[in-house]
Amino acid sequence: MSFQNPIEIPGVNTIYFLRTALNEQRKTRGEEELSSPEFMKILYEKMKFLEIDKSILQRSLNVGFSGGEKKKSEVLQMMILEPKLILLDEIDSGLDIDALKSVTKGINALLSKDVSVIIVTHYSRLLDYIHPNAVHILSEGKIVKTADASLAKELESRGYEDVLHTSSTA
Amino acid sequence: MYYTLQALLSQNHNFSSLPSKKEEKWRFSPLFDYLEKSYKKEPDFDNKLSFVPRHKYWLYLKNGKVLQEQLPSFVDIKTCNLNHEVKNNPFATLSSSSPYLGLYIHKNIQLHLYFDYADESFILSALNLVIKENIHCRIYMHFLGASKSFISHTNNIKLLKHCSVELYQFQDLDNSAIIISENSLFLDESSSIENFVLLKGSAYAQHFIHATLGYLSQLNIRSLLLAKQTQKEFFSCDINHLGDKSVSNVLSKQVLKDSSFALFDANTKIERQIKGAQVKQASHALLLDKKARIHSLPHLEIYTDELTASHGSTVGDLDANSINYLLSRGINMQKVREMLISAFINETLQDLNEPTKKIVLEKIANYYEGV
Repeated sequence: MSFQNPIEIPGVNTIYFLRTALNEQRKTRGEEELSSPEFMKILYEKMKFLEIDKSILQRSLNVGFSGGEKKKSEVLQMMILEPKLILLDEIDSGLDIDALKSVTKGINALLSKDVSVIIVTHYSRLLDYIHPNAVHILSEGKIVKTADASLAKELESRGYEDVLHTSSTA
Repeated sequence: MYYTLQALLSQNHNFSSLPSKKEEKWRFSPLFDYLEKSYKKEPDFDNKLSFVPRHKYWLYLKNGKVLQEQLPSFVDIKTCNLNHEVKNNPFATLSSSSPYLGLYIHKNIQLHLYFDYADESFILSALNLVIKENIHCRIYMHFLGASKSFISHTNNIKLLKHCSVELYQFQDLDNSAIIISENSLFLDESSSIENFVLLKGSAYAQHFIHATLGYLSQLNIRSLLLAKQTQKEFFSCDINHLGDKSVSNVLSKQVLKDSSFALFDANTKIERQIKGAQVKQASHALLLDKKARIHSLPHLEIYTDELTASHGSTVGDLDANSINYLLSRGINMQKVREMLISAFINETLQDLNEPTKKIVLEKIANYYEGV
């Protein structure tokens, strides 16, 4: 799960956190822990792909990170931990266009038939870079409408109230 | 000079190392409960090193007496047994003589001092350390053993002008040990002390620091108290700024689990005529269980306007949001708690050099079991 505002944890070094999380995942899956060089190789590959500066590794987790760095860090964690189900809560909030491109590039790289991604967003801007299989409208804790990607464009042009009113009267 | 300092040490034992009942009451500590136990008057002396130190220069003391040493010629060493009568404390009948060690350092050195203690004994020991002008030295003090023993150790450290000392004190004693450590620090003009104190392991530990700061001198104290079960740890410092532009900085962190107890009691005094002093005091406690307790008493006693001063104290549990975040990344609860405790502790370790940090991390590693 990626948080809308990833919390800052002073004193927990980012690289130590990433390695611990990955090795804990591997232990759970019955795999051997990665050695330091093996881990660093994977980490640097992913960081290069997401265009993340290496300096964040020695900093405390999310402490003093810009909005873009925090979101990229969340995507980096996903790329390293390789979860089967991903929930992204407003991953696009507070991102400039370049950071949004990097983040969505990372999300697209994770997509496969074995991985499900649920993206929560208020805007369709994100959908210029990610093409969802389905769009759901969640209102007052319930999914009130489901359709394909065209629903997002409809929402953008007509607004929530109009779309929901039309669907309830139809 | 030795005679004078030894006399002073003797006084320390009489008047400071073993506090009165009234002082104990103020510190909320049950020291006098321990004093009623019986200890061996003449401790066992097996004449063996429990391990061979791997460092270049070292000194190994058993029950306060030098057993073996590897010191360069530029360190003067004097040892003696002082016969003194300890008045006004319950040990008068127990102690007839105490081992005293005097070290006079007049070249830069890195030195490890191992204080090893026998079991079920009552031991008074003392170190008198004088650092010559313009010298930089790094002193490690390791306190070991002392199963079911009562240790009262006094350090009297005098820094002459323009010298600096890194002083690392590790009390990692047996779970049944009781230790009172009295530290008198005298900083002459432009001298500095970087002091790191680790209290861990013993049933009862008191660490007192009395410091006197001269012109342009600097005292930086970092203390880390790790307690569990019913352990009790007391950290007190009494700092007196007697010189202009003197600097003192005290940071203490306590991690307490089960029904352990800790006390932080600091008092920094800046006299009326002192100008440009800088004073900082901070205590941060992490209580891991509901029954763990801390008394935090940061005091500033200020009689002048020309200074920079701050003090503060915090007490709390591990942050629930941080736990939740780390758990969401698949890290198990035990590891999450270890990571967050380690993060809390890190602030006290960040200024340490790498070899020292490694020693500390080795010493505290077993504290994380079952947190």
